[in-house]
Amino acid sequence: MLSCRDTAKINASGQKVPLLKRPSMWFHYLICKTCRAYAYQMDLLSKGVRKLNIKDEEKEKALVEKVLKNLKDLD
Amino acid sequence: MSSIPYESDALIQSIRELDHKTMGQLVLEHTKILRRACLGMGFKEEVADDLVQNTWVTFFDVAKRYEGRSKIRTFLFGILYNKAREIRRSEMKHTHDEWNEFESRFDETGHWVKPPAAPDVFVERSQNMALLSSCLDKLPMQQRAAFTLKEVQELSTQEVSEVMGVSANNLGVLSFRAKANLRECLEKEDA
Repeated sequence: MLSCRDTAKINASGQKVPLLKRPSMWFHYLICKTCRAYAYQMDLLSKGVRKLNIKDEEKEKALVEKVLKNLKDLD
Repeated sequence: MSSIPYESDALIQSIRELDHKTMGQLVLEHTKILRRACLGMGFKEEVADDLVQNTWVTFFDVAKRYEGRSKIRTFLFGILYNKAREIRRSEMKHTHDEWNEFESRFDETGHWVKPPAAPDVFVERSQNMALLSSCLDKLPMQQRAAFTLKEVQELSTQEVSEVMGVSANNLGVLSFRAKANLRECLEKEDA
């Protein structure tokens, strides 16, 4: 059976869980409250960090124009 | 396998010919996400703008040799990542890896000896943008890039592996360490 450390590592790596390991992951989460809490926190972390995706339309537009000007200057 | 072009022959051809209409379209499509990725990797706005411009200069420079072996987006992010790495190397940014802290949470059989913080404490901290930002700043460059490109810019595992020149397994380790370190940092820092 997977240990708590293994479960935490698989969860945080963000990779797909191999088919053969899935039942033991599910079972582990079923019986281990701490690992469920850890997985929940990792999920919160990803969601929180996504909010840091800074979008500044004005500055992005200005940058696009600069790059397009550089492209024109290539001639 | 890698000889199969990802982009259409017509597109590859117009890129190699530096066709202005195609190039302009690529600039419009990709500049924003490149800038956002730079900011996500912790660069200041001015540095991010320079990095993106330099990425395009390099792209225009090497476009004649583009063979379509990777998607345009992956190709551009690859250039950007290498430039970002050069800057980080020259800055010699102080970072620390809290790997031992993660390992110290488990006993030799792999069971928790130091369980994670109470969920409500963590909910609050994970939504505190200033705190998240300062914890992200403490991550080593590779971990931060892996985490940002995958979680924030939502590039696929294959794309990030190609951009960073690491195997999918190594990328998994980098993502895992980045997340574990961030979590440790959030739990430790005062909100």
